[in-house]
Amino acid sequence: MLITRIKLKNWRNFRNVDVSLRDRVYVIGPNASGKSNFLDVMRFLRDVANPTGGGLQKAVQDRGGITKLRCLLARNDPKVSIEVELAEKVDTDPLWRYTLAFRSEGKGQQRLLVSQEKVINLKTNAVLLERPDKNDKQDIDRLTQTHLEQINTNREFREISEFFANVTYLHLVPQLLKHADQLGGYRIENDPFGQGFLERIAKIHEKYQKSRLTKIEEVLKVCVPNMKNLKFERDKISGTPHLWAMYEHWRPDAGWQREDQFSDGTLRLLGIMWTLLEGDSLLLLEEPELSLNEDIVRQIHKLIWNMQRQAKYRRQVFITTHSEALLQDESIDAREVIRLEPTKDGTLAQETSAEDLALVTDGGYTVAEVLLPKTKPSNVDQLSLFKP
Amino acid sequence: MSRLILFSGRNFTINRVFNARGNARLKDGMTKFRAASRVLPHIVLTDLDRCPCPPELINNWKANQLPPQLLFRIAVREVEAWLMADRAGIAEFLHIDISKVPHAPETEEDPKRALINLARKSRKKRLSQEIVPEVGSSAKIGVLYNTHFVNFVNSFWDIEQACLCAPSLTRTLSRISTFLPE
Repeated sequence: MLITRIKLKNWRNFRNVDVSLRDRVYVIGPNASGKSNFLDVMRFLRDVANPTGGGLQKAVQDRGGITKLRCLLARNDPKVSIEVELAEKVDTDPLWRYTLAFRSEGKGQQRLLVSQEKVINLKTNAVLLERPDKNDKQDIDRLTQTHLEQINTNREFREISEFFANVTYLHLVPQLLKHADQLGGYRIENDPFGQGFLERIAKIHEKYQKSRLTKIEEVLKVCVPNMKNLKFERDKISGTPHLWAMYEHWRPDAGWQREDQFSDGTLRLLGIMWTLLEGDSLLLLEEPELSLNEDIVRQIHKLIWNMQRQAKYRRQVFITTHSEALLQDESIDAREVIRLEPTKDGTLAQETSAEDLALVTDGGYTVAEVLLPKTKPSNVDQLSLFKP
Repeated sequence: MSRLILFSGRNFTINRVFNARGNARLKDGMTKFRAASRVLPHIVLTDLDRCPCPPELINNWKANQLPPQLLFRIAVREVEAWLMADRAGIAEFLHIDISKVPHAPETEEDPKRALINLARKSRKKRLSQEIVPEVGSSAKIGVLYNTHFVNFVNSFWDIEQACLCAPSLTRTLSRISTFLPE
């Protein structure tokens, strides 16, 4: 499944968003335009749907409460609302529409209450859920929870709930992996920074482990000079999982290196590729170009495409990026780009306009040439004129 | 370029600005600009650089018989010559004597170097340090060269004055004013 459309109201720095999405979505925009906030919508839905200790209250609380979450520019309408449409495949009719809106109670304890929750099966046009309903009106406490988070009530649309619960966010920070021993065992929930990456590899069956590592090895060999083989092993004494890579060396057995000796770029690439092969739900990637050589950044689009093709289930991927090299790839479809534009009235999320699309298809420009100049801050040329 | 369009009095909206970063890439882009000008009118400005004369460059770039939506202009030798052509303006900006600024900047062999040499004579030592490359450096320009001259063009450059000393600038302006008549 994939998200084909997303509508937001008063979400963080977005007052109003309505965009269509494809199976790859490149999110571009200047610094502090809200790229991560845009991805956070999907992480939020995951946190709401999370069957182990998730839920609406916790998801909002983890983000510093509704006052932090709600757009500062929200005026008459105080509620935050998220609506997504899900389809089985790209370019097919959507199957589901899920809407969730919530607000502060406005009196008393100022609890956080659901002000709308709606599920429509778009195939049959059946409304499977519409809240607040009669029961909610009799017992306001019910509105502190969504039906999405409850197995008892989400039976008819569990597909959606599972899709959200399996959303993965990855912003692998190589240092956290390399210095795991010194940093101690503390992990952030859902492991956004890839600290538990090796354990994730360790958990799966050896057969799949090998097959995925072989696929990754093929790609890595091209990107990392001198690298030959990749293997996964547990430490015989402590049981700690480790990745090993063989580098060509004049002494045949001297070249095995452990992950803490890998370069930052190699580790990030590994993380990205592994995650692409891993699940079947949406994957959120934050700036995959970091610490990679520009020539390899140029290959990222092909790499994602290739991994999506090889994976058992094709994952939809949202990617935030600043990289010109990445978007220079001529095989990128301009419809895959969402451009964020900060304005005084909140950030706008724009699909590629018809004119921009024509400049790419008829004019022969690359996506980077057409769309990136628009994300450049207008006074950047003057940045260095500030006198110390 | 946006200042030139504004100065020409034409009612064009600049939809976007592409910086080709170097003449070679601009030259490679000509086919693209031809095709894309059908979607959106293009104005392409390049430096003549070491090419002997504009017609030869047009020939080399195969830039003849362009579609009417594509305006192709050449700054004689370099766009820096157009900046120096505002003699009083550049003298004041660089804190130098106006007599040191050339009268016919378009005849300069290397306008960029000429401009840097002017900055070298600046009475403001700090400004000079920022624009002129360090002694022995392989760099052609100082660290804040672009920053300062972008600032000059945006806030100080007097186009009317510059036209008096830069014929290729005058021609470019007149071509902009007749480009795509309404």
